[in-house]
Amino acid sequence: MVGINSTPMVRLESVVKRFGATTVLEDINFNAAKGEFISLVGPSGCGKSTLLKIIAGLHPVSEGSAIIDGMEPKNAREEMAFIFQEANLLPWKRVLGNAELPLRMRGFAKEIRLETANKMLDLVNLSHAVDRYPWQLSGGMRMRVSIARALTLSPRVLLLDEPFGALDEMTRDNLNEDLLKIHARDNWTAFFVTHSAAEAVFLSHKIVVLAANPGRIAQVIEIKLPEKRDALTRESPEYLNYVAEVSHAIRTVH
Amino acid sequence: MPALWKKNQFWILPTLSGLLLLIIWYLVSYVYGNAEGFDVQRIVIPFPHQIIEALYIERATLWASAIKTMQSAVLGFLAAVIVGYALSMLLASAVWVKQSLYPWVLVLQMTPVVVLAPIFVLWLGQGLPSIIMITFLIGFFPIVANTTMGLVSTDRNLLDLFEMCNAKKSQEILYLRVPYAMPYFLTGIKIAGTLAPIGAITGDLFAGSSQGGVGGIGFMVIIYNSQLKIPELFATAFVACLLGFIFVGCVNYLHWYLLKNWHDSVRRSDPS
Repeated sequence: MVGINSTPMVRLESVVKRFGATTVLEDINFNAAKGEFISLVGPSGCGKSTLLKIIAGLHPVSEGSAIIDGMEPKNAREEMAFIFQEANLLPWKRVLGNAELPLRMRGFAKEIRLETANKMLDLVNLSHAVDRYPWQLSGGMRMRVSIARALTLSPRVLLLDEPFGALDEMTRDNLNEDLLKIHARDNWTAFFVTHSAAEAVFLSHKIVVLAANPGRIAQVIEIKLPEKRDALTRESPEYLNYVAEVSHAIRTVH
Repeated sequence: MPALWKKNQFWILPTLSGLLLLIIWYLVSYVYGNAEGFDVQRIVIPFPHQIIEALYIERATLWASAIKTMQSAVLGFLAAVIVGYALSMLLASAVWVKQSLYPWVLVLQMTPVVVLAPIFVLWLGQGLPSIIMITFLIGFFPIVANTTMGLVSTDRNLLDLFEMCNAKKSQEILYLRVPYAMPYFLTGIKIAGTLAPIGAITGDLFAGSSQGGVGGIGFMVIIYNSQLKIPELFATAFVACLLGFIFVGCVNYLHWYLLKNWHDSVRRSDPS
């Protein structure tokens, strides 16, 4: 990773985050290169979601700095997209209306909005459901809309906050495979918050294990599985070893 | 047979209870009439058919006054909706605005409208402006309370989503806060809708006049009462009740129409 992409896409330097008197994150130093897929794992309350929101510019840092592609997070919104827990769709908008929302907010012409949104919905296999309302979709389909919506602006950094936590295992596995296909195509840098060691191993180049009270980086585990991963990857011994290693790391950090 | 009964009991039962009430009414009316003499009976508890007769004889007057009351109710209701919504936007715009203004909105609401009514008649004179004002005062609080609640309770994650899209404040209001608050606003409107005809009739009691030929429902109540036209008074009550149903029906339709595609409270069926 180092060498070709020597300037990191996301740079976290001595990031400290306090809410009132409580220190939530302490001295976070981490760089992510272009195209790297990073998972953030750790016990509840370790501040992984907070860290994600700092990168997004939704929370200001208390000390240190977060730099996205050379910019302050708030100025780098054009390059970032956030995928939330649950799908976070507007219930009064149809699938297409939800997918084109980011383009609408940025004032794109209608033809461009519809063309891009339709293309992204096609990419997540939802072209048959563009006219449906969110309540008419399954949980997995809602999440697909959310992914399509995030992709409409061709982000260079994708931030995902436990996006598949509420889904059943099969739906989650399918979405993970699809996510990797899209990643191979677009090569964005990803920060993926999850509770699942298996999911983190399957998706990531690197897994950042956070410890709690205060939240800090305990360990960075590099996943040296082949770049191209599919359902069979989950059956390989290397994969299973990594899952065991990460589970152990999450359980024993302090 | 039980299935047929289950399917139709929603109209059979109220019809039966209505007939029962009608019989009791006739009995009471008859017994009272025999005891006190015919004229007194007609004045105190008229027979139902006398009320229908009065409804028929007075139909032109009652129709005209119903129209007049409906006009006041609609105008007062619209004023309550527009001013109520604007005030809600203002109250929801910042905490300090709400803290400064909301207590005084409450004070206005807690002062009974019937006490304020003569004051407004003093200021605005007899007639439509006073009646609209009184209707407005009765209807606007539920709209303000509900809409403000809706505007300030927007989902945190959706707000974050809009921030990630670099949405302008105006876009956030138009595309997020306003639709999000819509169910709350419509709840406020439903309550205001039940109050608007009552407000218009109350306004009529204080500020009604027979300007332009005929007075509103409230004005007719005063006239019939002073003339001891009791069946006509009952007939007027019937018309007022009908007005209320029509008004609430329209508002409920609006509520259903605006939410039918997406809101849990009205959407027709679940998937799978």
